[in-house]
Amino acid sequence: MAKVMIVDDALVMRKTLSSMLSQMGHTIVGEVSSGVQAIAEYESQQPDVVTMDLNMPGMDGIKAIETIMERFPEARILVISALGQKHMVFNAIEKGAKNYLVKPITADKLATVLNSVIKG
Amino acid sequence: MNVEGLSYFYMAVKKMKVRRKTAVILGGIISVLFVLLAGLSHELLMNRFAALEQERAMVELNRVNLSLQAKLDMLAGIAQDNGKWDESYRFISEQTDTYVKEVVTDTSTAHRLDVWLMLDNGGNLLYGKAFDSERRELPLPDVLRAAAWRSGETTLLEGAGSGVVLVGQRALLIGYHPITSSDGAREPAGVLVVGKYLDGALQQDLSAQVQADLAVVVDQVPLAERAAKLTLKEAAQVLQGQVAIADLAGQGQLKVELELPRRILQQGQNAFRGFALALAGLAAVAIFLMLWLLERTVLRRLLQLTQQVQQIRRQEDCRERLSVDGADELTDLATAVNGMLQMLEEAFNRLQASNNTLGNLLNNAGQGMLTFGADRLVDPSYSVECLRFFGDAIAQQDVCRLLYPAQDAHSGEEREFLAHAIERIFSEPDVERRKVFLTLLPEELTLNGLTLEVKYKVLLRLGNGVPSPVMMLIITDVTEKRQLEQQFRLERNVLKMVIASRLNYNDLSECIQDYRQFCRRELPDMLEGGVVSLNRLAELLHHIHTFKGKFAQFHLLRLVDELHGLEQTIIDLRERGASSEAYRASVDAERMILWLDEDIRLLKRFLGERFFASAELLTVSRQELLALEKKVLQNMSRFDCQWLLPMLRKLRYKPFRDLLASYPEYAATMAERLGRQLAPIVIEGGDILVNPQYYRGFCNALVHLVKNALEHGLEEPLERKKGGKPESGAIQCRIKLTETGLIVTFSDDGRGIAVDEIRRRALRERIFEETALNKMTEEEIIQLIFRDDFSTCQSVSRASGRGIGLAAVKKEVDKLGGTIEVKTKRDRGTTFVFSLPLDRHDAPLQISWDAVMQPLAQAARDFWQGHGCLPQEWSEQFDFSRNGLRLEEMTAFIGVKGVLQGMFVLSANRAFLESLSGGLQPDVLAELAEAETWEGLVAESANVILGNSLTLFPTHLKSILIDTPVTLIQAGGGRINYPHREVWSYSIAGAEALLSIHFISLEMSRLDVE
Repeated sequence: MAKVMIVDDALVMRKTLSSMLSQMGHTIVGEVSSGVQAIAEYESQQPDVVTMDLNMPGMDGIKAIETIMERFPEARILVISALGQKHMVFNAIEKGAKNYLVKPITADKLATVLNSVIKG
Repeated sequence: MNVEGLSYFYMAVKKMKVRRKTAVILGGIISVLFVLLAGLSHELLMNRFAALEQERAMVELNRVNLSLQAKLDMLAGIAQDNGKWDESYRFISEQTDTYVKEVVTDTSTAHRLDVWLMLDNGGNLLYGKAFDSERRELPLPDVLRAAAWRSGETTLLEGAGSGVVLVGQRALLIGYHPITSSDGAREPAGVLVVGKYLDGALQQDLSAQVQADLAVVVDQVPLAERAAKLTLKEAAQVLQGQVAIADLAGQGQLKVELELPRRILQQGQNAFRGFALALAGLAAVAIFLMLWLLERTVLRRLLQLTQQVQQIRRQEDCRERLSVDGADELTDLATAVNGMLQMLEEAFNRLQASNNTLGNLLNNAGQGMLTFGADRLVDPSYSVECLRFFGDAIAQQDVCRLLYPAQDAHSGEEREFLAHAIERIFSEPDVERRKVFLTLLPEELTLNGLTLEVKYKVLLRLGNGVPSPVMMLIITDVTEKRQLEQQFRLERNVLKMVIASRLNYNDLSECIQDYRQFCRRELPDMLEGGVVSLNRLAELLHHIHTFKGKFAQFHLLRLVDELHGLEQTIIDLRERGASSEAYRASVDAERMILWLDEDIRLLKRFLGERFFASAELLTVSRQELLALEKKVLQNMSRFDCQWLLPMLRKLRYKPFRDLLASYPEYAATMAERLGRQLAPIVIEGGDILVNPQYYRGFCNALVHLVKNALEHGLEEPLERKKGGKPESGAIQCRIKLTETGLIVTFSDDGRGIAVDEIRRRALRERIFEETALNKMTEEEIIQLIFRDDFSTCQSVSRASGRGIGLAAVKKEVDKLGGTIEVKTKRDRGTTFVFSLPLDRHDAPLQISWDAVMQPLAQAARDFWQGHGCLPQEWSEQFDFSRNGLRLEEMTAFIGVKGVLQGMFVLSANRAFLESLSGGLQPDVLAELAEAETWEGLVAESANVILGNSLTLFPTHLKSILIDTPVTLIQAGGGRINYPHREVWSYSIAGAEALLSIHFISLEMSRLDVE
């Protein structure tokens, strides 16, 4: 099972994700609410997968992805996006994110995409 | 020619056309052959000629040599003859002149000797003589004198012999012999030398012998051999032969040179030249012939073949075939090519068919499919649906521009994103990532009013053996689906709205009214003036927000959406600090009401048109209306009624044509069932409002006319066509209002009514006797069709029976008091003209004298008679005055109100009442007696007569209110004066009894005032 770090500025979202992931048997190694924290936390925790919200105050998800990918090219990032953010998601994937999920998130969807990210 | 040149030549030839190449090769070969042949033969022949010539020359040279030798031999002979002679021998010792004279001179002369020498054995000159050509003695040249005959110690002249001695530039041929006795026994005393110069005569002699010019040359070069040396030298034109003889002293040599013209060679050359020319000519002819034949048999046809093949290739039409004359390899080639073309054509057809099949599959999939490469330009083959989606051919167009053609910022942004994404996807080597990217491309877009769903696929295309990725777009038109979904959502909303509205009707209704009022009144006020204050804006927003919330409760979502937008607009305007004009432009009250109306329209679809109107409209039943009419008639004056009643009636009346509204569809359906073609029924006029009850019966009966027209009147289409009529039959109904009533004309353009047939039928059915029928006019006969017992059609059908229909029409018309006129023309059609009276209700409220007084008169008569006391002789009189009226002894006054406004006056004398009383039942009389008999009687009479007459009044006069009678008893009668009032009077009188009834119109009207 994988070590997962959750990056999302919304507490509800973080809790939803962490409970889903825990139930799947993954370990949550970090829950942060901003891009800057995400970078710092990544360094210390070295997670297998990062779930990354795109819209966050301060450093946004894309910038965070860019920075993480620059420093840790092997990082596996799963983008969590809202409906109608296709252009941003495309950008994020270009920057190195592995895949994306559109909210609302269901356990099934999350499991499928997360597995593909871990395997890929 | 070097190697490069050769290869250049080879390349040049290789590049040439066959015709030129053939010419060059053939010409080259034949030329080379010619040159070889000519050279060889030249070589062979000329050498042979030269050898022959040399042989001949040698023969000539030999002859010269032999002639020279012969001369030398001859000289040797002469020397022998004279040396071995006693005389000579003796001369050595004696030296006699005789000898000189007889021997030397004579012999010399005889033999034309040039020199005669006698030498001793030591070689010294003993005697010598020289002569010129004239036989004159010449001094002996020194060279002959001196010790010339010696070479060192040895004498040159040993024994006998001959030879050449060079004397200066002359050559002397000598013969010598030892001088001995004639028997030769003696020891030689010396040597006798005779000589001749080789020039002049001798040379000529020699020339003559060899038949050639000789040249004698003396050369000081010694010659090794003593024997004569023959040499031959070749020159261009001549052969130079030389006979060289060494001189005896070995000091030089004699050369006799001979020039021989090379005649053989020249002739040979001439002959060869001729031969070569002939050969060249032949070669040329051969070349020409060969080329010509080649051209004829091969080249021209080859060219023809090539041209045909090229043409086929140009036209790209493999259905064409080659044709070449003859039957050889070329025709075989053409056949082979044709075979290939056949194969090509079949293959092409198969390909085409398979392409078509594939294309059809794609084209009929109902989806737009197109592909493009990294350049984003659409490939030339795409499915036909694309044409519909994009509205035009799309090959070689930028796919981004096709999907987002609009010029606005949003489209531009999407277009840019798509272009970038496509580029990214094409450059992405990782298949999984590419898949992720593909999911992020736009899935649905709106184009040319269509909602299109787009799916993306990356495929590998094999082009030139190198697989290259292409992107495929599969486009599905989901417009209808989305519309349905939208519709579904809308319907659900509408249902919610309907339920909410139903449940809270009053709230909603109030809310709607508030909203309307707000839009019409308050809103314009708020936005008035130059500046809209913030307070007012807040108020405005507050209102809008409230309405939004309230309407949301009723699920008037469309309105709510619009209000939400409006709210945003106002907020935006406020932020921009817009002017009040800007507000007025953006916040349009009329538009706001339209939004509401839209939703209300939806609601009405479910709740009925009257749902919202019910707040403002009352439902009034027909009965209530009729009652109201009645009340009006009773309580209002005639003139009031005249304008009130039509308005009232309009509430329940309908245009006449509405009563016929069902016929066009009915007729069309029936025509279809009967297989007739019928143009839509035309109904003209009939906008007049009529009492539907009154005309309904008639209008319903018209169905029989429609049936009849379709069943019997209108012919079948084929028949109509033959008759020169349009295939579709026409039925028309015209309604016209005239002064007397309505004229309804019903006509068809069918075959018309057969009058003879009616007549026959009337006879057969025994409706009339023949004699009676013969008396009837055509019109009368036609009128028979309205009889109950008549029908012109033998067949009985569901739609129209046995002519009962027409009878029914007739009955309805009769009921209305109308008339029917029938106009028919064979093959032209039938027209029914109905003249119908207007409903009397509809007639203007004319109250005529007749209408009032006749019923009264009737009622009075009936009353008197009813009491069984109308006298045998009675008279009656109608009167009319404006001067008041005379009263009898007993009078009753009854006021009437309503249409008829005025007063009835019944005045009778005692005799009348007494006559009545006789007829009155005793109990009635008793009653009367109880009261004041006469007053009661007159009042009662007035009541009864007026009451009875009411039933006889025209309908519109029936609705009047009658007051209770007021009586006046005055003996001797009296007079009432009503100035300017019309008084209608009726009086009936027996012998004594007199009853008069008056009606005094008390109507005040504008008309009267005027």
